[in-house]
Order: sequence, then structure tokens, then C-alpha cells
Amino acid sequence: MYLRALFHGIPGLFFWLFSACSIQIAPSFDQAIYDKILASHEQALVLFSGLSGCPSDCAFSTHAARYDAVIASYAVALTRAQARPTPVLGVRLAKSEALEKVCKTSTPEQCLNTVPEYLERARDSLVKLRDRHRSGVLAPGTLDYFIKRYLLPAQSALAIEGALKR
Amino acid sequence: MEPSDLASNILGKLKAELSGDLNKIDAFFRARVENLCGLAVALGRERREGFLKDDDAAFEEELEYLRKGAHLLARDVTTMVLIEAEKAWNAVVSEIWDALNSIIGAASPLPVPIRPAP
Repeated sequence: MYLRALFHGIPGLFFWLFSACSIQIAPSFDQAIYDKILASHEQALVLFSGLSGCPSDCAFSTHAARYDAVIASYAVALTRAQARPTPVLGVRLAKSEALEKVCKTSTPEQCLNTVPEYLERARDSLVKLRDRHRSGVLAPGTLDYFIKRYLLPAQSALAIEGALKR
Repeated sequence: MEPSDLASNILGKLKAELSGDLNKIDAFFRARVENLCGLAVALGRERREGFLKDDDAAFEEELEYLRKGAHLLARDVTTMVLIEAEKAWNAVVSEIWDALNSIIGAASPLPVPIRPAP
């Protein structure tokens, strides 16, 4: 009788334990990271607005300080985002066969935590634009290309960080 | 609480949690695909007549940037879908846990267990 009671109790016990487990797969939202990305993005848009007069009214020295400020601002956001851990469940999932194809180009820790990579790419785009500007004339087509190159990761970082807010 | 009430509560909570989120994923995906296509067009233009015209190494580097962007988009959509799964799971769990707490609290002199933090 006891054995039977125990047998009937096992599913209930499992159900109990199961229902006690809340899960977290993706990293936690960080308001400080979101605010820093937003502030950096705003600085980048101000820089682009100032460059709209290129190539005629576009001396590099006029814009050098703005380049430095926005690149440094992204570096700060990147440092903070890189320090944020991916939950253990997210890392395990990234190692699983189910996500093998999706995660093959990244580490399991990075796979479901794309914000640091986006910040790196946004900063890299600004560095490349600055270097090209410093080395010579900035043609309108070149500026347009680098703005598009920057916007892709910057807007993605903002959207993904926002999505982490459950 | 009747089991049918519990099921209704769970479904109601799920609908509240997830409604609109699938549209957000759809909007995110469309916007990023537009970004990628816009960048691809600009890359083609710069290769034909811009700063990449005579620079094969830089062109290869920019192609790699575009390719990595597509991979990142796939990972983002996966992450967003998994966040939805996470929300659905946690909504169901919290509802079941609250129901169990109320049942145990009513029937037992033992302290009511507290829902663990995620």
C-alpha cells in the first residue's frame, strides 16, 4: 500500500519540483547599458549631422573631438556589456544540437548575447569612418556607406537590449 | 480553485505575456533585413565607383562584415524567440505555483512555500 502511495506520489512530486523552476535563457536587462547605448547613438547622429556638409565644408580637425567622444562612449558601453554574464541555461542551450547551426560562428557564451558584438561593430564602423576622414576627402557616397554600416549594429543593439527587458 | 479555472488563468496570462511580442519580432526582423539590403546596395555602389573600386582587400573585408551581419540577425531572431519561450514558461510556472500555494495554504498548517526567484 505504501509502495502504491509512493508510486502515485512521484508524478505529483515531479510536478511540484518542475513548477518551482523559473528559467532564464538570455541575459538580464541592464538599464545602464541601454542608457549608454542610447547616449552613444545620439552622439553618433550629431556627428553625422555635422558631416552632412562634406566634402566642401568638412575639415577633419573640426570633427576630431566628436569622433573621439562617440568612439570612447561606445567603448564604455562595450566594456559593461562584455562583463554581463549569459545565464547557464542559455550557455547549455547554445551548446546543444538544436542550436548547432545558429551558434556555430560564436562561442556558447556569446551566442544568445549579441549586444557586445553589435557594440564592437558600431564602434568599428565609427573608427573606420574617422580613419578614412583623417586620411583624405570624405566623399558623400563613402559617408553614406559608413552611416549605413554603423546603423545596422547600433539599431540592433538598441532593439536587442530593449527586448531583454521582460 | 477548480482545474478549469487554473487552465483559464494560465491561458489568460500567456496571452497577456505574449500578445504583441510576435509582432515585435516580425518588425525587428523586417527592419534589420532592410538595413542589410541597404548596406549591400551601398557596398555594390562603392565597389563600382567609390572608395572600394580598386581595393580588393577592403572589399573582401566589407563583404565579411555583411556576412557576419546576416549570421548575427539569425542569432537575434533565435534569442528573441527563446525570450518568448522563457516568458511563456515563467508565466505558466508562476500561475501553477500560486495555485499550489493557495491549495497548500488552505489545507495545511505548514508555512506556504515562497516562489523561487528566476
